[in-house]
Amino acid sequence: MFISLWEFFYENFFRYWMKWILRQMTGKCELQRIFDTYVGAQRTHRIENSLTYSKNKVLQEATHVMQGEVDKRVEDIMKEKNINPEKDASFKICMKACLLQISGYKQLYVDVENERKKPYDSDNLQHEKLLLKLWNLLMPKNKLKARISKQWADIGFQGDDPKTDFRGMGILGLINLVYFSENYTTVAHQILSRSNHPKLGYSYAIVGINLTEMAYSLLKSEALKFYLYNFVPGIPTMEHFHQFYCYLVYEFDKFWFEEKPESIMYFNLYREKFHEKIKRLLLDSNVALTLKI
Amino acid sequence: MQHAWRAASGPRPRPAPNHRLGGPRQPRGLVCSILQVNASLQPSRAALIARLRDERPLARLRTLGKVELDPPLYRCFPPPLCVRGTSGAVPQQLPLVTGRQEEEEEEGLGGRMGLLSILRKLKSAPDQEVRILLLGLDNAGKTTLLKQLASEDISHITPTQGFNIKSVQSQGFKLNVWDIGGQRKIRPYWRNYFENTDILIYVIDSADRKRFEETGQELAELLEEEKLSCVPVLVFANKQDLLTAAPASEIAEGLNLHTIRDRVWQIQSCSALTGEGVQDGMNWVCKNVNAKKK
Repeated sequence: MFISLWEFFYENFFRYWMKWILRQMTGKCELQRIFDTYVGAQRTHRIENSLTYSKNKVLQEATHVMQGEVDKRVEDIMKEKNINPEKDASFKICMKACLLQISGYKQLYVDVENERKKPYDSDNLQHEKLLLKLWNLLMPKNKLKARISKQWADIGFQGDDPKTDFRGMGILGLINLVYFSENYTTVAHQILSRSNHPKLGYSYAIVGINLTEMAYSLLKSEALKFYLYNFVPGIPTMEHFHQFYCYLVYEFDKFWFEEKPESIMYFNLYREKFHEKIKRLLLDSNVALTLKI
Repeated sequence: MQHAWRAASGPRPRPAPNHRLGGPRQPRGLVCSILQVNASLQPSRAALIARLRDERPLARLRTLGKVELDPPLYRCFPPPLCVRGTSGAVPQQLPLVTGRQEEEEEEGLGGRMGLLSILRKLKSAPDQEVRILLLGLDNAGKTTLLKQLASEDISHITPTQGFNIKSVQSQGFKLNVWDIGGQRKIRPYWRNYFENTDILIYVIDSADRKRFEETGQELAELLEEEKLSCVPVLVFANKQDLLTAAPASEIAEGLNLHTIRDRVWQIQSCSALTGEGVQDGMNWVCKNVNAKKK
């Protein structure tokens, strides 16, 4: 009750007064003060908040700006805020970088969601090619005898035809699996052979699809913001999402064998534990999660 | 939070004046309806039995008898079985009795039971817990069904490694639903979950004709399990939203369901995706919770 009352007053009155007082004292607007004080993800995050809560329409809509319009939008903001480009030369560069990161994150979610919504389609030649590519990357020595075959279970699909396993993650799940196998082939082979452990083993491919879901839900809940703002100086792309997925696969495998679960039946329990761990790491504004081999 | 289950369609018959129940309840989550025979209009036991004999299985009659012999108990505990409206008795379609409603009802009866009603309240247990096991081949739609029951988002489902469990509260019942992965590799683990199962729900992908034989075999093996003996089984002929889906009757024939003699069973066509038919299946589950033959 008190908190919501405070929030109401803060957002409507105090914030405005404080900003006015600080502006008079420093001669700089809030955006400039943020650039002076913070770097990395904190800077972008604070700029984003400042823009979102702004009462000025130009500033408010800046977080949804299209990539091609960033330059113009920066100039609009400078005009709106009376910032002299000669006095504060760095403002333009910093603001542009921040806007690219902020709008890029939103665009990345749209792109990822688009891939996720595309179901795996066996009539689509590209999808079929990608699936066979996955097999060849993971099993270079064993030839796949038929498209529908029990062999798929060797790389951790559930049945004879992997197409039913992609489900809610659609083609995104397959793209993630292929990306990891292609860019970290040796690690992928190690993890695949570990996943065949008689006691601690798990189903490589469907655990991978589960981790796609984890990466996707973290992106959706905006938990990946600090990570991407630190990791990518410009526009975050699909590539960066795949990189994060690779980190998850590698770390999950390590986590699983450290925890030594009693059986695969406890998968969801450990998955949740791992999820919490990652969420905790992502809360740190200096977070930098990279796959270290 | 209790879920109020009630019929999704059709007008609700007006309750008799001596049943002062709460106003219309908001349906939340799974919707199901329970029919009760209005106490005041109950026909004689013999007549009811006679009427029911031609259409209901034996298990129903047995529980009905108990209900009639011990009306106070009937009001204390949620009715384990439901009686379908028959021509003579005017059926009352009411939400299942919850704690609050019970109190109101008793006051409505003039509190004539006094001490007895207090004792009864002490005795009245919390919701009866029901253990439901959800099995079937991989990609049958078990997790979608589970999430549909819990009114959760079903668009991000991934293959189940291990199991999921959710509790769904309904008036009088706390349904603990265990959804176990259907992948061939983990089917040997199914038996670890058999103990104390009240209802077995077996889910079939009606459009996956190639695996009808495999799914039939798995079901047949389940029915032979000692720990599952006499456990009522509900077969969901899922994915009826697909054009290629086989009708429930065809599946029932293919699985030789009519040869099941040792338990009550039911086949229900449904689509876990759209939710169609799920409610009807769960109605059956609620009605047959206590039909497990000892």
